[in-house]
Amino acid sequence: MDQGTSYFQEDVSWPDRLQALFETENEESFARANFESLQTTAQDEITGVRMVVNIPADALLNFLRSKRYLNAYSRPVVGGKPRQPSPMRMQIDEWLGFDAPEAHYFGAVAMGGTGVRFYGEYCMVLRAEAVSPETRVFDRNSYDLARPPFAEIEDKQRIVRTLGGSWGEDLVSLVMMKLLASMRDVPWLITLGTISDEILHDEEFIEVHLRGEFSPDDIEEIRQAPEDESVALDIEHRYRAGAMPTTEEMLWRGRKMLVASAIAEPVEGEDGTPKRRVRSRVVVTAGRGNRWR
Amino acid sequence: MEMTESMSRWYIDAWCVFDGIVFASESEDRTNRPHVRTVFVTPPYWRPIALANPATALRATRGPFQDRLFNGAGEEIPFETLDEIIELARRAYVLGAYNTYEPPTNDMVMAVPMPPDRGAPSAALAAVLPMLHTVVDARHQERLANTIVETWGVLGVRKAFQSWCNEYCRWVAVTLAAGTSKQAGKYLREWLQAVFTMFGVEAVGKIMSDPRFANRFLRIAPADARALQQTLLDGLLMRLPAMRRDGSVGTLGDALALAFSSRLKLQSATLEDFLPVLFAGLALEITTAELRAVGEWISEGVPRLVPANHEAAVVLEALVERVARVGRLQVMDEITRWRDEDFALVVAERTERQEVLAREAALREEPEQERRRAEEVRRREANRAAQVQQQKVMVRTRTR
Repeated sequence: MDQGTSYFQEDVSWPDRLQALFETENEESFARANFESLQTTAQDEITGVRMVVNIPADALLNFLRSKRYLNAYSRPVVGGKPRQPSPMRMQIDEWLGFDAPEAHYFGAVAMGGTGVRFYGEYCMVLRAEAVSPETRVFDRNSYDLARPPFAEIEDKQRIVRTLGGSWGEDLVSLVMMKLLASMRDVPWLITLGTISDEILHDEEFIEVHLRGEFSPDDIEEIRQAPEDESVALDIEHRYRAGAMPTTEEMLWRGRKMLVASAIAEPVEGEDGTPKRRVRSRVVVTAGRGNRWR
Repeated sequence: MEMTESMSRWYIDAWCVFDGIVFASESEDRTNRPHVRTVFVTPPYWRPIALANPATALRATRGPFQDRLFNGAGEEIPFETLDEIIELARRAYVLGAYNTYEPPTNDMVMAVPMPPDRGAPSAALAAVLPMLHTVVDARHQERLANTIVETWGVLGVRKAFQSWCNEYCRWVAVTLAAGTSKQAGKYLREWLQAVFTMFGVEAVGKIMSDPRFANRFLRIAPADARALQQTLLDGLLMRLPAMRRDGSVGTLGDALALAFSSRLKLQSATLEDFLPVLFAGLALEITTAELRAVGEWISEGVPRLVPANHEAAVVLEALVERVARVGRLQVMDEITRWRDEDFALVVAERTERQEVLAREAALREEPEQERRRAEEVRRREANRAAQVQQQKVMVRTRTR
């Protein structure tokens, strides 16, 4: 069976697509065993898949201060107001079939790691219960709809129907289909570090469209990449070696300290006792250390 | 190839202004955003990173990134080079230091950082200030650095700086005498570490010799240069208080934010504006005490590429002015409020549109019989009205 054809099967749910693919596999195939392993882990309440949202330092400080996560929508911080939200944004919203585009907040699916770091060095992990089973997922960045080869296809709703799904019913099968696209013939059991890397890697991710805002109370933890700690140390080492730090370097390090303080700041718990606002840590690189997440 | 280079321009795709993160594309025709290449730039290194997929840049506007950069007329602003965009991002990022650190409260007001002789620096200011906003290349940077060394070196700027720090010590004593508040204690430890390291025990000796405070001071270990460097990097420098031109107390972070983000602020710089910047450099250069290095640091920090009349500079200056006037957090709150208003408008428009569509659909779906019955009712009412009118006419005719 052609992998590409089974991946892009129209009007067939992700679980059915996966089942059809399994039927072509022989008994010795590792694909089924890998799926069972993934299913158990992905749906586990402790180690399972999560929605993650990356955010830069100053925006994170604002989020913790205002308790509101905002998408910028049409109002710019600097410069004149555009005449309307970008035509491309409105077009993508229409293709995705949102009933209320402004009320949707975008994230990515992750099992460990530090998210899509292009969008900010802090990775906010939402609690499992903050994402309802009806939440929509899309197997890639939805702006790919406006890029080749999808740009050439007229019926975008058909693509959205084919590549979209729901968090509760489709996600695990979707993840497995993505894994099989690159690792179908792997003759061994895939480890979770590898799965984590495959789900979210560099510019590639599975998109989540959460309906409604979320607040700091919905955050399970905030993850930071070890690379940022290295950058902070690099600035300090160069300074000690005699190179004056730039104002930007000082501000960058200072912001890290402010974020650390804001995260550590206790808040009042439900029973009136102070509790830690949100958990935070630097993660270990997937699959290379003694722990993968 | 030359033709392509001359036709293409750089544009901002998505920008998280106070976080300094920019996605930018080089493009020949922006109408449908066809791109030549797309890059990602972020502090603290500001080195462009190539992106394979421009969709990654566009998707950023789903989060706290603003969508492109427009002038007042709502047209997208082009740039000749990527370096211009990077400088703009750097300037806006430094502006983000404004209001990041709270200045001391009124009961903790400290001495103004002023040189011993306020008359003397005027000559140095006359030489340096005009150069601050005319730095456009490495040659100008070199000239500015040299001038700072020549003029400020002979005027004993270090003495002025020491005097400033001595004032800190005096403030510490006054604060302690008044009873150490929680906030004072927070500032105290860091400042004392700085003063101990930079100016030695001589500057604080008088305070230490006072038996009333000795016990408290002894509990604070003097910092070494390494520890001080770390605390300076981690925000201490930005938090140190500096008097503003209007006499209120701000922070060195505020002073640096304005000086390094705005050419207009530099053009109108005064002694009060410039000294905090110079002192910040001196505080950073604690290990070698090289005034030349301080000069180079200042010349590296001030705006140098994007000219004041560039459309992007104009909109950035407007933001600087707004931030300086009302405060950065207030500006962010304003944007949040506008966003909510925009959203409310969008929702209202959508609701109205949906209601119209629903009415039209209901009309279309109305059973034909009901429509006919309604028409019949309307027709009968019209007939009855006509009959009544006719009867009235007849009555009037009879009466006559």
